[in-house]
Amino acid sequence: MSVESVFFETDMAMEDFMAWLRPVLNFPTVNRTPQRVDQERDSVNHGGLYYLVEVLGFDLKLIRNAGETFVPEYPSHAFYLMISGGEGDGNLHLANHIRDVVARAGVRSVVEVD
Amino acid sequence: MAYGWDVEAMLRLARKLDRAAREIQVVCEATGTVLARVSRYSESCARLGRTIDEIDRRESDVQRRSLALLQAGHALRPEEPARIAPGGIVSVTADQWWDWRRAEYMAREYVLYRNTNPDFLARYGRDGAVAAAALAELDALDLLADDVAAPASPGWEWLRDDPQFWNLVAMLADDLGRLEQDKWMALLGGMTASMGDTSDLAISGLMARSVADGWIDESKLRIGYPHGFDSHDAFDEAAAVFRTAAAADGVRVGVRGSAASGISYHRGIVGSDIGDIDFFIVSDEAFARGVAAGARPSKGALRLKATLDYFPDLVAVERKLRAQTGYDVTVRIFSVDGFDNVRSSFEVFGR
Repeated sequence: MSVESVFFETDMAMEDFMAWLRPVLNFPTVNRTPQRVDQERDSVNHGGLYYLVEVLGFDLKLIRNAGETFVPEYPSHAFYLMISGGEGDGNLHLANHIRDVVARAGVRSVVEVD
Repeated sequence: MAYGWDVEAMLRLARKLDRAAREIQVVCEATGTVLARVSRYSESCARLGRTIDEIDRRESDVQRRSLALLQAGHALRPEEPARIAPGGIVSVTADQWWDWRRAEYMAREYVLYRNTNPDFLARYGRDGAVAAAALAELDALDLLADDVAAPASPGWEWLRDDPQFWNLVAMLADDLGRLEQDKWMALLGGMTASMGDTSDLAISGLMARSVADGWIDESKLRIGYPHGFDSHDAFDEAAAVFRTAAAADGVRVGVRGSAASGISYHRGIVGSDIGDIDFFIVSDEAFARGVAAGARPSKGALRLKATLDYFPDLVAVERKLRAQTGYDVTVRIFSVDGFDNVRSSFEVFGR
């Protein structure tokens, strides 16, 4: 159950990209866990503004690929979605699925290779 | 100095200070007019400086900043510094006096036009805003606090990142105390973000005085323990659990960012509505263990993904603390060098 990440190639602002991503992936607008209700969040460990979506037992975090949270292997990808919480290969399957869905909607992405 | 803000120690020191310490008066040689009184804060800062075995460097720094405040009034004449005579009388020349007047004028311009002319800072450079701060115009400080909270003009960004500007603001302890608490918090946040490591002493001293003089509600500053914990012991207990879970020697644990400062920044807005609690672990050993397990480090830090993948004991502590504090909790692992590299960009609590 390794954590997986999907890196998105977009020039949209983060807020705009989340607004675009939400209907494409049919995200809920709020989370159920009491201390995580707000999806728009702020955290130094996450590089500042980030989004947290709880869905189907997964934690999906949209993080800016810059500054402290920059992943040098993917320099041209503005954001990545960190997927955790899945059992077995669940995180990887979801990552591949998300890559395919956003590709059909017009945004190129890549699943991180460990 | 202790790692991070040792605010309680600063508070104790501040209470020992002689409250009747002399003020420094700025007097125009030509007219005999008392132009300004430099805050006792500089004196306090010098005394605090003596406690950390950096006497020479600190005192020269305080002296330099005292003069910088004076020179802000005649920002274009740094080659002609004001003189501080025994007894704290500062002599300025007639030219300098006129520059003070000019600075005062610019300060009023700033107050009058900053709201109606978004290009004000860009056009006037830093002089107007710096002068406004240096001359302790309460209205100007009020506006500056607003600007820090919600940057309004193109010139604000470079002003915000200018440590000298914040040094000047830091000198204005007496007047900052007259601001509303939220405004003062905004300015404190700006100072923290801009001045970083080199001014821990100044900020801590200022915070200590703010509490000692009753300007700020102690609980609002999270004195003694960070956001999300109801006592120092509760925080120490959480840090100890992380330290144990890291399973390495010489581990440093603490929180950073909003939880440490009590001040949050969200979309450029300053507030006290803290989001996540961001823990850090500084340990070359834990860092190396993560890398050996397969994590790819970046600039001396492991990604959060690495914590989740390779440190299940830490993840268990995160979950426990999330339930305990009511806030989302994460921990990031740094090497010693990696942490030193980013340390100045956020506030830290812990040791």
